[in-house]
Amino acid sequence: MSDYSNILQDLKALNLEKAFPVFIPSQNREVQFTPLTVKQQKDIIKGALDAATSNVLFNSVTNDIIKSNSSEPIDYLILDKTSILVHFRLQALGDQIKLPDPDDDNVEYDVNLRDHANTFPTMTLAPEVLQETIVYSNITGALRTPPLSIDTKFNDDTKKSLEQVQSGDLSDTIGDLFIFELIKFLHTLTIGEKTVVVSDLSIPQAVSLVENLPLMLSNKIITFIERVREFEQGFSNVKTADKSLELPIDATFFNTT
Amino acid sequence: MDIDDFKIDVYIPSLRKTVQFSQINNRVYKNILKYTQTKKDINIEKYLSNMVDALSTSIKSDDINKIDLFCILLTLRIVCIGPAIDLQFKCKKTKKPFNTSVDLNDILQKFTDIGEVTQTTVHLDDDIAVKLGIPSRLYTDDNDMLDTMTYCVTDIDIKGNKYNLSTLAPREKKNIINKLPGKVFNYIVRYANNIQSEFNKLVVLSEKSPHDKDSHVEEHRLGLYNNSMFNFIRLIYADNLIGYYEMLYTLSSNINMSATYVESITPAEAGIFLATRRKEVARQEQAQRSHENKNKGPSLPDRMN
Repeated sequence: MSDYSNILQDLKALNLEKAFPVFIPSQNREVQFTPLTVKQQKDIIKGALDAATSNVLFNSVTNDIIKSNSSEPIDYLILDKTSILVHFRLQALGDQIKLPDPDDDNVEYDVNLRDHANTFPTMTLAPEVLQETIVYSNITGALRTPPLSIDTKFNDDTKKSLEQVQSGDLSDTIGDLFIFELIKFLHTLTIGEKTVVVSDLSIPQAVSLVENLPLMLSNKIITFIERVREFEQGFSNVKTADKSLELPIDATFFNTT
Repeated sequence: MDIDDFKIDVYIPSLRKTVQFSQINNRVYKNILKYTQTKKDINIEKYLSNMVDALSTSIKSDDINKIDLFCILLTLRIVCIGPAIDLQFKCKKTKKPFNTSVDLNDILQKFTDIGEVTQTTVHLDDDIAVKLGIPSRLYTDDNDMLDTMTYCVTDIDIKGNKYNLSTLAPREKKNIINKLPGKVFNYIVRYANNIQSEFNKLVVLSEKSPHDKDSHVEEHRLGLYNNSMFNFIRLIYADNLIGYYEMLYTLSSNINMSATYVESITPAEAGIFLATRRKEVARQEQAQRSHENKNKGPSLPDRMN
Protein backbone atom coordinates (compact mmCIF):
# COMPACT_ATOMS: atom_id res chain seq x y z
CA MET A 1 0.00 0.00 0.00
CA SER A 2 1.15 3.54 -0.71
CA ASP A 3 1.97 6.01 2.04
CA TYR A 4 -1.17 7.89 1.09
CA SER A 5 -3.44 4.88 1.67
CA ASN A 6 -1.60 3.99 4.89
CA ILE A 7 -1.98 7.49 6.33
CA LEU A 8 -5.68 7.59 5.43
CA GLN A 9 -6.20 4.21 7.07
CA ASP A 10 -4.29 5.22 10.22
CA LEU A 11 -6.20 8.51 10.49
CA LYS A 12 -9.56 6.79 10.04
CA ALA A 13 -8.76 4.27 12.77
CA LEU A 14 -7.47 7.00 15.08
CA ASN A 15 -10.56 9.12 14.49
CA LEU A 16 -12.85 6.29 15.50
CA GLU A 17 -10.72 5.55 18.57
CA LYS A 18 -10.97 9.17 19.67
CA ALA A 19 -14.79 9.21 19.55
CA PHE A 20 -16.23 10.86 22.64
CA PRO A 21 -19.66 10.87 24.34
CA VAL A 22 -21.98 13.86 24.06
CA PHE A 23 -25.12 14.36 26.13
CA ILE A 24 -28.09 14.88 23.79
CA PRO A 25 -30.98 16.64 25.55
CA SER A 26 -33.69 15.48 23.13
CA GLN A 27 -32.57 11.86 23.53
CA ASN A 28 -31.80 12.20 27.23
CA ARG A 29 -28.72 10.04 26.71
CA GLU A 30 -25.17 10.17 25.41
CA VAL A 31 -24.26 9.59 21.77
CA GLN A 32 -20.72 9.04 20.46
CA PHE A 33 -19.19 11.63 18.11
CA THR A 34 -15.88 11.62 16.23
CA PRO A 35 -13.69 14.70 16.78
CA LEU A 36 -13.50 17.70 14.45
CA THR A 37 -11.03 17.47 11.59
CA VAL A 38 -8.75 20.22 10.30
CA LYS A 39 -11.10 20.73 7.35
CA GLN A 40 -14.09 21.15 9.63
CA GLN A 41 -12.17 23.62 11.81
CA LYS A 42 -11.21 25.52 8.67
CA ASP A 43 -14.81 25.60 7.45
CA ILE A 44 -15.95 27.00 10.79
CA ILE A 45 -13.33 29.77 10.76
CA LYS A 46 -13.89 30.57 7.07
CA GLY A 47 -17.56 31.17 7.79
CA ALA A 48 -16.60 33.95 10.17
CA LEU A 49 -14.69 35.84 7.50
CA ASP A 50 -17.84 37.09 5.76
CA ALA A 51 -19.41 39.40 8.32
CA ALA A 52 -22.79 39.61 6.59
CA THR A 53 -23.47 35.89 6.50
CA SER A 54 -21.19 34.62 9.27
CA ASN A 55 -23.87 33.41 11.69
CA VAL A 56 -25.87 31.68 9.00
CA LEU A 57 -22.75 30.04 7.57
CA PHE A 58 -21.68 28.96 11.04
CA ASN A 59 -25.10 27.37 11.54
CA SER A 60 -25.00 25.50 8.24
CA VAL A 61 -21.40 24.35 8.62
CA THR A 62 -21.91 23.11 12.17
CA ASN A 63 -25.18 21.35 11.23
CA ASP A 64 -23.26 19.46 8.52
CA ILE A 65 -20.45 18.61 10.95
CA ILE A 66 -22.90 17.28 13.55
CA LYS A 67 -24.56 15.07 10.94
CA SER A 68 -21.25 13.79 9.61
CA ASN A 69 -19.52 13.13 12.97
CA SER A 70 -22.43 11.46 14.78
CA SER A 71 -22.07 7.72 15.25
CA GLU A 72 -25.86 7.38 14.96
CA PRO A 73 -28.07 8.63 12.12
CA ILE A 74 -30.13 10.97 14.28
CA ASP A 75 -31.73 14.17 12.95
CA TYR A 76 -30.82 16.18 16.06
CA LEU A 77 -32.97 19.08 17.21
CA ILE A 78 -31.71 22.64 17.27
CA LEU A 79 -31.84 22.56 21.07
CA ASP A 80 -29.26 19.72 21.05
CA LYS A 81 -26.77 21.82 19.18
CA THR A 82 -25.13 23.85 21.96
CA SER A 83 -24.40 20.73 23.99
CA ILE A 84 -22.79 19.09 20.95
CA LEU A 85 -20.72 22.17 20.08
CA VAL A 86 -19.52 22.57 23.66
CA HIS A 87 -18.26 18.95 23.57
CA PHE A 88 -16.57 19.49 20.18
CA ARG A 89 -14.84 22.52 21.64
CA LEU A 90 -13.78 20.61 24.75
CA GLN A 91 -12.30 17.84 22.64
CA ALA A 92 -10.51 20.18 20.22
CA LEU A 93 -9.28 22.94 22.51
CA GLY A 94 -9.39 21.66 26.06
CA ASP A 95 -11.29 22.48 29.23
CA GLN A 96 -10.32 26.11 29.77
CA ILE A 97 -12.02 29.07 28.15
CA LYS A 98 -11.86 32.79 28.81
CA LEU A 99 -15.23 34.53 28.86
CA PRO A 100 -15.74 38.29 28.94
CA ASP A 101 -17.52 40.00 31.79
CA PRO A 102 -20.85 41.22 30.33
CA ASP A 103 -20.59 44.35 32.49
CA ASP A 104 -16.94 45.21 31.81
CA ASP A 105 -15.18 44.65 28.48
CA ASN A 106 -11.78 44.77 30.15
CA VAL A 107 -12.43 41.85 32.48
CA GLU A 108 -12.25 38.17 31.52
CA TYR A 109 -13.06 35.09 33.56
CA ASP A 110 -11.30 31.73 33.32
CA VAL A 111 -14.03 29.13 33.09
CA ASN A 112 -13.77 25.35 33.21
CA LEU A 113 -15.95 24.24 30.33
CA ARG A 114 -15.83 20.59 31.44
CA ASP A 115 -17.49 21.46 34.75
CA HIS A 116 -20.17 23.34 32.83
CA ALA A 117 -20.76 20.42 30.41
CA ASN A 118 -21.13 18.05 33.34
CA THR A 119 -24.28 19.95 34.34
CA PHE A 120 -26.03 19.25 31.01
CA PRO A 121 -27.64 15.91 31.99
CA THR A 122 -29.38 17.67 34.88
CA MET A 123 -31.29 19.98 32.53
CA THR A 124 -34.80 18.62 32.21
CA LEU A 125 -36.49 18.94 28.87
CA ALA A 126 -40.19 19.64 29.40
CA PRO A 127 -42.60 18.29 26.73
CA GLU A 128 -43.91 21.81 25.99
CA VAL A 129 -40.43 22.76 24.77
CA LEU A 130 -40.56 20.00 22.17
CA GLN A 131 -44.04 20.61 20.77
CA GLU A 132 -47.27 22.52 21.20
CA THR A 133 -50.59 22.87 19.43
CA ILE A 134 -51.93 26.36 18.82
CA VAL A 135 -55.48 27.15 17.79
CA TYR A 136 -57.17 30.26 16.44
CA SER A 137 -60.68 30.10 15.04
CA ASN A 138 -60.71 27.13 12.62
CA ILE A 139 -56.90 27.15 12.19
CA THR A 140 -54.74 24.74 14.13
CA GLY A 141 -50.98 24.82 14.07
CA ALA A 142 -48.71 22.03 15.29
CA LEU A 143 -45.46 23.56 16.53
CA ARG A 144 -42.29 21.59 17.14
CA THR A 145 -38.66 22.30 17.89
CA PRO A 146 -37.17 21.92 14.41
CA PRO A 147 -34.57 19.29 13.55
CA LEU A 148 -31.24 20.44 12.14
CA SER A 149 -32.24 19.28 8.63
CA ILE A 150 -35.02 21.89 8.56
CA ASP A 151 -32.71 24.51 10.06
CA THR A 152 -30.16 23.87 7.29
CA LYS A 153 -32.82 24.04 4.56
CA PHE A 154 -33.82 27.54 5.63
CA ASN A 155 -30.27 28.66 6.41
CA ASP A 156 -29.42 28.29 2.74
CA ASP A 157 -32.21 30.68 1.77
CA THR A 158 -31.37 33.04 4.59
CA LYS A 159 -27.82 33.21 3.27
CA LYS A 160 -29.09 34.10 -0.20
CA SER A 161 -31.28 36.87 1.26
CA LEU A 162 -28.35 38.29 3.22
CA GLU A 163 -26.07 38.23 0.18
CA GLN A 164 -28.62 40.28 -1.74
CA VAL A 165 -29.00 42.82 1.04
CA GLN A 166 -26.58 45.30 -0.52
CA SER A 167 -28.72 45.64 -3.59
CA GLY A 168 -32.06 45.38 -1.84
CA ASP A 169 -33.92 46.75 1.11
CA LEU A 170 -32.55 45.73 4.52
CA SER A 171 -36.02 45.79 6.08
CA ASP A 172 -37.18 43.20 3.52
CA THR A 173 -34.27 40.95 4.52
CA ILE A 174 -34.99 41.24 8.23
CA GLY A 175 -38.60 40.46 7.42
CA ASP A 176 -37.52 37.35 5.46
CA LEU A 177 -35.36 36.16 8.37
CA PHE A 178 -38.25 36.58 10.77
CA ILE A 179 -40.61 34.63 8.50
CA PHE A 180 -38.01 31.85 7.98
CA GLU A 181 -37.69 31.54 11.75
CA LEU A 182 -41.48 31.13 12.15
CA ILE A 183 -41.64 28.57 9.33
CA LYS A 184 -38.94 26.40 10.95
CA PHE A 185 -41.05 25.95 14.08
CA LEU A 186 -44.42 25.41 12.34
CA HIS A 187 -44.74 21.72 11.57
CA THR A 188 -48.30 21.45 10.22
CA LEU A 189 -51.16 23.84 9.67
CA THR A 190 -54.78 22.68 9.57
CA ILE A 191 -57.49 24.93 8.22
CA GLY A 192 -60.88 23.28 8.60
CA GLU A 193 -60.41 19.79 7.21
CA LYS A 194 -57.28 20.49 5.25
CA THR A 195 -53.79 19.89 6.71
CA VAL A 196 -50.48 20.87 5.16
CA VAL A 197 -47.03 19.77 6.31
CA VAL A 198 -45.11 23.03 6.09
CA SER A 199 -41.75 21.38 5.37
CA ASP A 200 -43.28 19.72 2.29
CA LEU A 201 -44.04 23.10 0.75
CA SER A 202 -41.64 25.00 -1.44
CA ILE A 203 -40.01 27.92 0.37
CA PRO A 204 -42.08 30.60 -1.47
CA GLN A 205 -45.27 28.64 -0.64
CA ALA A 206 -44.29 28.34 3.04
CA VAL A 207 -43.39 32.04 3.20
CA SER A 208 -46.73 33.00 1.64
CA LEU A 209 -48.59 30.76 4.10
CA VAL A 210 -46.89 32.16 7.20
CA GLU A 211 -47.10 35.76 6.00
CA ASN A 212 -50.87 35.37 5.84
CA LEU A 213 -51.31 33.84 9.30
CA PRO A 214 -53.45 35.82 11.76
CA LEU A 215 -51.30 37.89 14.11
CA MET A 216 -52.64 35.92 17.07
CA LEU A 217 -51.13 32.71 15.68
CA SER A 218 -47.83 34.38 14.81
CA ASN A 219 -47.55 35.62 18.37
CA LYS A 220 -48.16 32.11 19.70
CA ILE A 221 -45.38 30.77 17.49
CA ILE A 222 -43.06 33.50 18.81
CA THR A 223 -43.91 32.54 22.40
CA PHE A 224 -43.04 28.90 21.61
CA ILE A 225 -39.74 29.95 19.99
CA GLU A 226 -38.86 32.00 23.08
CA ARG A 227 -39.51 28.95 25.26
CA VAL A 228 -37.13 26.84 23.15
CA ARG A 229 -34.48 29.58 23.17
CA GLU A 230 -34.74 29.86 26.94
CA PHE A 231 -34.08 26.12 27.28
CA GLU A 232 -31.10 26.40 24.88
CA GLN A 233 -29.70 29.25 26.92
CA GLY A 234 -29.17 26.93 29.85
CA PHE A 235 -26.41 25.27 27.81
CA SER A 236 -24.69 28.48 26.71
CA ASN A 237 -25.05 30.32 30.01
CA VAL A 238 -22.23 29.68 32.48
CA LYS A 239 -22.94 30.55 36.09
CA THR A 240 -20.05 31.61 38.29
CA ALA A 241 -20.27 32.63 41.95
CA ASP A 242 -21.40 36.14 41.12
CA LYS A 243 -21.79 36.32 37.35
CA SER A 244 -23.78 34.86 34.53
CA LEU A 245 -21.45 34.51 31.52
CA GLU A 246 -22.40 33.68 27.95
CA LEU A 247 -20.53 31.21 25.74
CA PRO A 248 -20.01 32.69 22.28
CA ILE A 249 -21.67 30.02 20.15
CA ASP A 250 -20.13 31.20 16.89
CA ALA A 251 -16.83 30.81 15.02
CA THR A 252 -14.86 32.52 17.80
CA PHE A 253 -15.78 29.62 20.09
CA PHE A 254 -13.40 27.42 18.05
CA ASN A 255 -10.56 29.88 17.63
CA THR A 256 -7.81 30.43 20.16
CA THR A 257 -5.38 32.29 17.93
CA MET B 1 38.55 9.00 -16.31
CA ASP B 2 35.62 11.40 -16.10
CA ILE B 3 36.34 14.63 -14.36
CA ASP B 4 33.33 16.36 -12.82
CA ASP B 5 32.22 19.72 -14.18
CA PHE B 6 32.63 22.81 -12.08
CA LYS B 7 30.13 22.75 -9.17
CA ILE B 8 28.57 25.57 -7.21
CA ASP B 9 28.14 25.36 -3.44
CA VAL B 10 24.57 26.23 -2.49
CA TYR B 11 23.58 26.58 1.14
CA ILE B 12 20.21 24.97 1.96
CA PRO B 13 18.84 26.79 5.03
CA SER B 14 16.37 24.19 6.29
CA LEU B 15 18.96 21.41 6.07
CA ARG B 16 21.71 23.71 7.37
CA LYS B 17 24.17 22.27 4.91
CA THR B 18 25.84 23.07 1.63
CA VAL B 19 24.92 21.07 -1.46
CA GLN B 20 26.73 21.10 -4.78
CA PHE B 21 24.92 22.11 -7.96
CA SER B 22 25.96 22.11 -11.58
CA GLN B 23 25.85 25.50 -13.24
CA ILE B 24 22.87 26.90 -15.11
CA ASN B 25 23.94 26.79 -18.74
CA ASN B 26 22.37 28.75 -21.56
CA ARG B 27 20.05 25.89 -22.54
CA VAL B 28 18.54 25.82 -19.03
CA TYR B 29 18.59 29.60 -18.87
CA LYS B 30 16.64 29.82 -22.15
CA ASN B 31 14.00 27.46 -20.73
CA ILE B 32 13.72 29.50 -17.52
CA LEU B 33 13.24 32.64 -19.62
CA LYS B 34 10.55 30.91 -21.65
CA TYR B 35 8.69 29.74 -18.56
CA THR B 36 8.99 33.04 -16.69
CA GLN B 37 7.52 34.86 -19.67
CA THR B 38 4.35 32.78 -19.45
CA LYS B 39 1.69 33.54 -16.87
CA LYS B 40 1.50 29.93 -15.67
CA ASP B 41 3.20 29.93 -12.27
CA ILE B 42 2.60 26.21 -11.83
CA ASN B 43 4.66 25.44 -14.95
CA ILE B 44 7.50 27.61 -13.65
CA GLU B 45 7.50 25.63 -10.42
CA LYS B 46 7.46 22.30 -12.29
CA TYR B 47 10.42 23.33 -14.41
CA LEU B 48 12.39 24.71 -11.46
CA SER B 49 11.79 21.55 -9.44
CA ASN B 50 12.97 19.41 -12.35
CA MET B 51 15.95 21.71 -12.72
CA VAL B 52 16.92 21.22 -9.05
CA ASP B 53 16.65 17.43 -9.50
CA ALA B 54 18.80 17.60 -12.64
CA LEU B 55 21.48 19.97 -11.36
CA SER B 56 22.16 18.24 -8.05
CA THR B 57 22.84 14.60 -7.39
CA SER B 58 22.69 14.91 -3.62
CA ILE B 59 19.33 16.59 -3.10
CA LYS B 60 15.81 16.21 -4.49
CA SER B 61 13.24 18.96 -4.88
CA ASP B 62 10.94 16.96 -2.58
CA ASP B 63 13.46 17.37 0.26
CA ILE B 64 13.39 21.15 0.35
CA ASN B 65 10.93 23.91 1.17
CA LYS B 66 10.02 26.99 -0.84
CA ILE B 67 12.62 29.22 0.85
CA ASP B 68 15.32 26.62 0.13
CA LEU B 69 14.25 26.61 -3.51
CA PHE B 70 14.36 30.38 -3.57
CA CYS B 71 17.89 30.37 -2.12
CA ILE B 72 19.00 27.87 -4.76
CA LEU B 73 17.58 30.06 -7.52
CA LEU B 74 19.23 33.17 -6.09
CA THR B 75 22.64 31.48 -5.69
CA LEU B 76 22.55 30.06 -9.21
CA ARG B 77 21.48 33.47 -10.56
CA ILE B 78 24.34 35.22 -8.73
CA VAL B 79 27.02 32.78 -9.90
CA CYS B 80 25.86 31.94 -13.41
CA ILE B 81 24.36 35.24 -14.51
CA GLY B 82 25.48 37.93 -12.10
CA PRO B 83 24.82 39.36 -8.65
CA ALA B 84 23.10 42.62 -9.62
CA ILE B 85 19.73 43.47 -11.08
CA ASP B 86 18.96 46.91 -12.39
CA LEU B 87 15.37 47.96 -11.99
CA GLN B 88 13.59 50.94 -13.37
CA PHE B 89 10.85 52.68 -11.38
CA LYS B 90 8.70 55.69 -12.12
CA CYS B 91 8.48 58.61 -9.71
CA LYS B 92 4.91 58.74 -8.45
CA LYS B 93 4.90 62.54 -8.38
CA THR B 94 6.90 63.59 -11.42
CA LYS B 95 6.36 60.40 -13.48
CA LYS B 96 10.06 60.54 -14.38
CA PRO B 97 11.89 57.19 -14.54
CA PHE B 98 14.78 56.33 -12.23
CA ASN B 99 17.02 53.30 -11.82
CA THR B 100 17.82 51.26 -8.75
CA SER B 101 20.41 48.54 -8.55
CA VAL B 102 19.85 45.58 -6.23
CA ASP B 103 22.57 43.30 -4.94
CA LEU B 104 21.12 39.79 -4.87
CA ASN B 105 23.72 38.72 -2.29
CA ASP B 106 21.92 40.90 0.28
CA ILE B 107 18.59 39.26 -0.50
CA LEU B 108 20.14 35.78 -0.41
CA GLN B 109 21.50 36.48 3.08
CA LYS B 110 18.08 37.60 4.33
CA PHE B 111 16.33 34.53 2.89
CA THR B 112 19.00 32.25 4.32
CA ASP B 113 18.52 33.72 7.80
CA ILE B 114 14.76 33.27 7.71
CA GLY B 115 15.01 29.82 6.11
CA GLU B 116 16.94 28.54 9.10
CA VAL B 117 13.87 28.95 11.27
CA THR B 118 13.54 25.81 13.35
CA GLN B 119 10.79 23.38 12.53
CA THR B 120 8.49 22.54 15.35
CA THR B 121 6.83 19.29 16.35
CA VAL B 122 3.43 19.33 18.01
CA HIS B 123 2.45 16.30 20.09
CA LEU B 124 -1.34 16.38 20.08
CA ASP B 125 -1.48 13.41 22.44
CA ASP B 126 0.30 10.08 22.89
CA ASP B 127 -0.98 8.81 19.53
CA ILE B 128 -0.31 11.60 17.09
CA ALA B 129 2.33 14.24 16.44
CA VAL B 130 2.78 16.58 13.49
CA LYS B 131 5.88 18.42 12.34
CA LEU B 132 5.37 21.97 11.10
CA GLY B 133 7.72 23.77 8.75
CA ILE B 134 7.82 26.14 5.83
CA PRO B 135 5.57 24.86 3.00
CA SER B 136 7.43 22.87 0.37
CA ARG B 137 5.58 24.03 -2.72
CA LEU B 138 6.25 27.40 -4.27
CA TYR B 139 2.92 27.42 -6.06
CA THR B 140 -0.44 27.38 -4.40
CA ASP B 141 -3.73 27.03 -6.23
CA ASP B 142 -5.67 27.88 -3.11
CA ASN B 143 -6.81 31.46 -3.01
CA ASP B 144 -7.74 30.86 0.56
CA MET B 145 -5.04 31.76 3.07
CA LEU B 146 -6.30 29.19 5.63
CA ASP B 147 -5.94 26.36 3.10
CA THR B 148 -2.46 27.47 2.13
CA MET B 149 -1.35 27.79 5.75
CA THR B 150 -2.13 24.13 6.38
CA TYR B 151 0.67 23.18 3.98
CA CYS B 152 2.99 23.91 6.92
CA VAL B 153 2.41 20.30 7.99
CA THR B 154 5.46 18.42 6.70
CA ASP B 155 5.46 15.13 8.65
CA ILE B 156 2.95 13.07 10.63
CA ASP B 157 3.55 10.44 13.28
CA ILE B 158 0.51 8.26 14.01
CA LYS B 159 1.18 5.74 16.77
CA GLY B 160 4.81 5.46 15.75
CA ASN B 161 4.10 5.25 12.02
CA LYS B 162 6.11 8.13 10.62
CA TYR B 163 5.11 9.70 7.32
CA ASN B 164 6.82 12.44 5.35
CA LEU B 165 4.26 14.30 3.24
CA SER B 166 6.72 15.79 0.76
CA THR B 167 6.46 12.86 -1.63
CA LEU B 168 2.66 13.05 -1.85
CA ALA B 169 0.89 14.81 -4.70
CA PRO B 170 -0.52 18.21 -3.62
CA ARG B 171 -4.09 16.89 -3.76
CA GLU B 172 -3.18 13.88 -1.61
CA LYS B 173 -1.33 16.07 0.88
CA LYS B 174 -4.29 18.42 1.14
CA ASN B 175 -6.67 15.52 1.71
CA ILE B 176 -4.47 14.07 4.46
CA ILE B 177 -4.08 17.41 6.24
CA ASN B 178 -7.84 17.99 6.04
CA LYS B 179 -8.43 14.70 7.84
CA LEU B 180 -6.03 15.43 10.72
CA PRO B 181 -7.61 16.03 14.13
CA GLY B 182 -9.03 19.54 14.30
CA LYS B 183 -7.04 20.32 17.42
CA VAL B 184 -3.91 20.67 15.25
CA PHE B 185 -5.50 23.52 13.32
CA ASN B 186 -4.86 26.20 15.92
CA TYR B 187 -1.22 25.12 16.20
CA ILE B 188 -0.89 25.38 12.41
CA VAL B 189 -2.40 28.87 12.31
CA ARG B 190 -0.21 30.07 15.19
CA TYR B 191 2.95 28.65 13.58
CA ALA B 192 2.04 29.97 10.13
CA ASN B 193 1.33 33.44 11.52
CA ASN B 194 4.66 33.54 13.36
CA ILE B 195 6.63 32.54 10.28
CA GLN B 196 4.67 34.98 8.12
CA SER B 197 5.33 37.86 10.50
CA GLU B 198 9.08 37.08 10.36
CA PHE B 199 8.87 36.81 6.59
CA ASN B 200 7.04 40.12 6.45
CA LYS B 201 10.00 41.89 8.04
CA LEU B 202 12.12 40.87 5.06
CA VAL B 203 12.38 43.83 2.67
CA VAL B 204 13.29 42.39 -0.70
CA LEU B 205 14.01 45.75 -2.24
CA SER B 206 13.47 49.38 -1.46
CA GLU B 207 13.43 52.43 -3.71
CA LYS B 208 13.18 56.19 -3.34
CA SER B 209 12.56 58.63 -6.14
CA PRO B 210 15.48 61.05 -6.66
CA HIS B 211 13.05 63.37 -8.47
CA ASP B 212 10.92 64.11 -5.41
CA LYS B 213 12.70 65.16 -2.24
CA ASP B 214 9.54 64.57 -0.20
CA SER B 215 9.08 60.99 -1.39
CA HIS B 216 9.29 58.14 1.09
CA VAL B 217 11.29 54.96 0.74
CA GLU B 218 9.01 52.33 -0.80
CA GLU B 219 9.64 48.86 0.58
CA HIS B 220 8.70 45.70 -1.32
CA ARG B 221 7.98 42.45 0.51
CA LEU B 222 6.88 38.95 -0.46
CA GLY B 223 4.10 36.78 0.92
CA LEU B 224 4.85 33.27 2.12
CA TYR B 225 1.36 31.87 1.55
CA ASN B 226 0.58 33.26 -1.89
CA ASN B 227 2.20 33.23 -5.31
CA SER B 228 4.03 36.54 -4.94
CA MET B 229 7.43 34.79 -4.97
CA PHE B 230 6.91 34.06 -8.66
CA ASN B 231 6.94 37.81 -9.38
CA PHE B 232 10.38 38.02 -7.83
CA ILE B 233 11.60 34.98 -9.77
CA ARG B 234 10.45 36.77 -12.93
CA LEU B 235 12.40 39.81 -11.78
CA ILE B 236 15.69 37.97 -11.21
CA TYR B 237 15.34 36.03 -14.46
CA ALA B 238 14.06 39.04 -16.37
CA ASP B 239 16.20 38.93 -19.50
CA ASN B 240 14.13 38.69 -22.62
CA LEU B 241 14.24 35.90 -25.12
CA ILE B 242 15.09 38.26 -27.99
CA GLY B 243 18.25 39.24 -26.12
CA TYR B 244 19.07 35.58 -25.64
CA TYR B 245 18.71 34.79 -29.37
CA GLU B 246 20.72 37.88 -30.34
CA MET B 247 23.50 36.65 -28.06
CA LEU B 248 23.29 33.19 -29.65
CA TYR B 249 23.42 34.72 -33.14
CA THR B 250 26.37 36.96 -32.34
CA LEU B 251 28.42 34.18 -30.77
CA SER B 252 27.62 31.75 -33.59
CA SER B 253 28.05 34.07 -36.58
CA ASN B 254 30.87 36.33 -35.42
CA ILE B 255 32.97 34.06 -33.24
CA ASN B 256 32.01 30.85 -34.99
CA MET B 257 30.89 29.13 -31.80
CA SER B 258 28.55 26.22 -32.39
CA ALA B 259 25.03 26.59 -31.01
CA THR B 260 25.65 23.45 -28.96
CA TYR B 261 28.71 24.99 -27.34
CA VAL B 262 26.90 28.28 -26.64
CA GLU B 263 24.09 26.36 -24.94
CA SER B 264 26.60 24.51 -22.77
CA ILE B 265 28.22 27.62 -21.25
CA THR B 266 26.73 29.86 -18.59
CA PRO B 267 25.05 33.18 -19.36
CA ALA B 268 27.87 34.88 -17.44
CA GLU B 269 30.48 33.19 -19.66
CA ALA B 270 28.50 34.11 -22.76
CA GLY B 271 28.46 37.68 -21.45
CA ILE B 272 32.28 37.64 -21.16
CA PHE B 273 32.61 36.38 -24.76
CA LEU B 274 30.22 39.08 -25.95
CA ALA B 275 32.01 41.80 -24.01
CA THR B 276 35.37 40.62 -25.40
CA ARG B 277 33.92 40.57 -28.90
CA ARG B 278 32.52 44.08 -28.43
CA LYS B 279 35.94 45.32 -27.25
CA GLU B 280 37.55 43.63 -30.23
CA VAL B 281 35.09 45.23 -32.65
CA ALA B 282 35.62 48.61 -30.98
CA ARG B 283 39.40 48.14 -31.27
CA GLN B 284 39.06 47.16 -34.94
CA GLU B 285 36.86 50.18 -35.63
CA GLN B 286 39.34 52.42 -33.87
CA ALA B 287 42.19 50.93 -35.91
CA GLN B 288 40.16 51.34 -39.08
CA ARG B 289 39.51 54.99 -38.30
CA SER B 290 43.20 55.59 -37.55
CA HIS B 291 44.14 53.86 -40.78
CA GLU B 292 41.69 55.96 -42.80
CA ASN B 293 42.99 59.17 -41.22
CA LYS B 294 46.58 58.17 -42.01
CA ASN B 295 45.73 57.46 -45.70
CA LYS B 296 44.04 60.82 -46.07
CA GLY B 297 47.39 62.60 -45.37
CA PRO B 298 47.65 66.36 -44.79
CA SER B 299 44.99 68.45 -46.50
CA LEU B 300 46.22 70.27 -49.60
CA PRO B 301 45.31 73.81 -50.59
CA ASP B 302 42.69 74.03 -53.32
CA ARG B 303 44.67 74.55 -56.47
CA MET B 304 41.70 75.99 -58.26
CA ASN B 305 41.67 78.98 -55.97
